Amino acid sequence: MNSFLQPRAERYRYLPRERAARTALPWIVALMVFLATLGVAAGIGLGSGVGALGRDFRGEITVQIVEPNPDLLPRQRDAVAAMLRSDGQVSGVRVLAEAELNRLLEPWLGGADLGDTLPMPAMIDARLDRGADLDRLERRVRALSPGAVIDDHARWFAPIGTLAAVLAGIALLAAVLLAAATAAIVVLGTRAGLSRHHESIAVLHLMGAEDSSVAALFQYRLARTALIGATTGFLLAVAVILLVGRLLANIGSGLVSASYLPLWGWAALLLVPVGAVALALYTSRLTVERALRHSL
Amino acid sequence: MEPLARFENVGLRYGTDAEVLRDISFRLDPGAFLFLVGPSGAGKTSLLKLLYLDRRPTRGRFTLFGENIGAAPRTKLPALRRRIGVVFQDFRLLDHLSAFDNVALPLRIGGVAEAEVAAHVEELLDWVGLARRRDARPRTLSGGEQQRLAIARAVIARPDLLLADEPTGNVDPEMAGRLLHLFHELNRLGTTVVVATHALQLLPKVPAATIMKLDRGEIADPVGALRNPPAPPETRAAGAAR
Ligand SMILES: Nc1ncnc2c1ncn2[C@@H]1O[C@H](COP(=O)(O)OP(=O)(O)OP(=O)(O)O)[C@@H](O)[C@H]1O
Ligand SMILES: [Mg+2]
Repeated sequence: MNSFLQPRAERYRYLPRERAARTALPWIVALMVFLATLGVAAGIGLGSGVGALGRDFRGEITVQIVEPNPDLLPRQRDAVAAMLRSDGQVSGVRVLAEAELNRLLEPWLGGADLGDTLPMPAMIDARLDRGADLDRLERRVRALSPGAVIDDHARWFAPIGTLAAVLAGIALLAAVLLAAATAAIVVLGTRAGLSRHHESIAVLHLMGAEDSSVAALFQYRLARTALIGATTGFLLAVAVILLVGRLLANIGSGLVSASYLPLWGWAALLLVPVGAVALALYTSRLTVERALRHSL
Repeated sequence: MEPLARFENVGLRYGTDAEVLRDISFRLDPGAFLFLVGPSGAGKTSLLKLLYLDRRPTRGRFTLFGENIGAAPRTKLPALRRRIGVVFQDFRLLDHLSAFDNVALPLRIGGVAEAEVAAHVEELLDWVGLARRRDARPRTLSGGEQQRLAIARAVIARPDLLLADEPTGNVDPEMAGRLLHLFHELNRLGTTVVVATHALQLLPKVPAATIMKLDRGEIADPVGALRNPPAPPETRAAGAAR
């Protein structure tokens, strides 16, 4: 019985040849794989981007010292910096020089030297150790400079992180739904094939062909179609991903450039077409065997 | 001797219709040659359908190759089917396959090596006079040629049980004689043969054969009572019924 399953041409003509390209199936598989690959890429990209960004920001704080009195400002700034340097939970304390501040503000202020007319805040960057108590630190800073503000970036990072996570989830969910839709289409296509070739199958059946052999005929026919469709869809998706990657690189923003696919992401993407073909073959086999179970 | 097939009060109905076979009881011994006769609609094809495992009996007990068919799991049936060769009344050749591939089908399903398949098929095609039509599609063959092709497909794998439903309906008397001779030869080599036919003139050609007559779904004669075929007038009547 085994040789019945061998992929030899003469054994697979038991069902009439049909031009697969004339049916919609390869195109549908291509479309599904295309969309699912993009979905998974977006999911992985956003997920890893958010993760990387979160890692960068975790622990980064900026202390902003606002003091209208220009004489008090440097004193408060130095006192706060000294306090931070001596604090056991803080490291990497760095006072931003006035020139640096001016450069940061230049796009908004147009390079005019407004340092005298406009009260400029002083900025101190620092890094908190893991598990540091931000509230305690804030109290100590306020004691030295009542108008100081600590920005731990979480405030603006949190909503972006949530949004990115939700988008990633939606993208992955879409990929799962596409897989379900593909399976449904394979079921319908296989059922149509079963009824189209009803007589041939009945004769094979009466001659003692096993259910698995009949299923193998369908799988063999489907394998080519699915492979062609999946490869096409995957290559198109990869082209799109590379293109989008370039565009993102040009933007240069932290989140989007961090969103670019990591290496393991590419490996995971490869699972989409492989999985689609496996899913199609398995679904087709199950459909045939279920249908035949109703015959004697 | 363990019978090859045994029917005990077997009944068969299609769907919810009335029974087309009723109280069928007989045994078929290995090596037997059985003619199944009877008017059109008597149930000959239906009885063969039970024998080639297309249907399970709806009543009674039917045993084939020692397996109780009414209760056997369907996974056991393909192996039994591979021991059976069938000439269907309407041939059921696969139209998209060549004559060669149609005949090769049972061997390939049985997993026979391709080199062996070719030799066997060529030889048999030659024997039934279709060697030159080996690449022809069944649709392009004459009725008689299709019939011979169907017979070749049924016997190619040397089945233990050969079932032929009206196998000589479309061939001339000479070819009919040749085909029956083929069945007879296979029978002598050990194949159990059941032939359903209206052609009563064939019956004397197999002197050792048992003859069973079906009428409206029932066995009309005790097995063997028709050993001596009926007189010519009934032959004409049976011929006219077709
Ligand atoms: N698939 C079916 N569904 C319903 N009824 C059927 C079916 N097949 C056969 N019958 C009925 O069963 C009865 C017996 O039919 P069957 O084909 O067995 O007769 P037969 O003896 O082979 O006749 P013939 O000599 O004309 O071939 C007939 O009344 C027929 O109408
Ligand atoms: Mg009949």
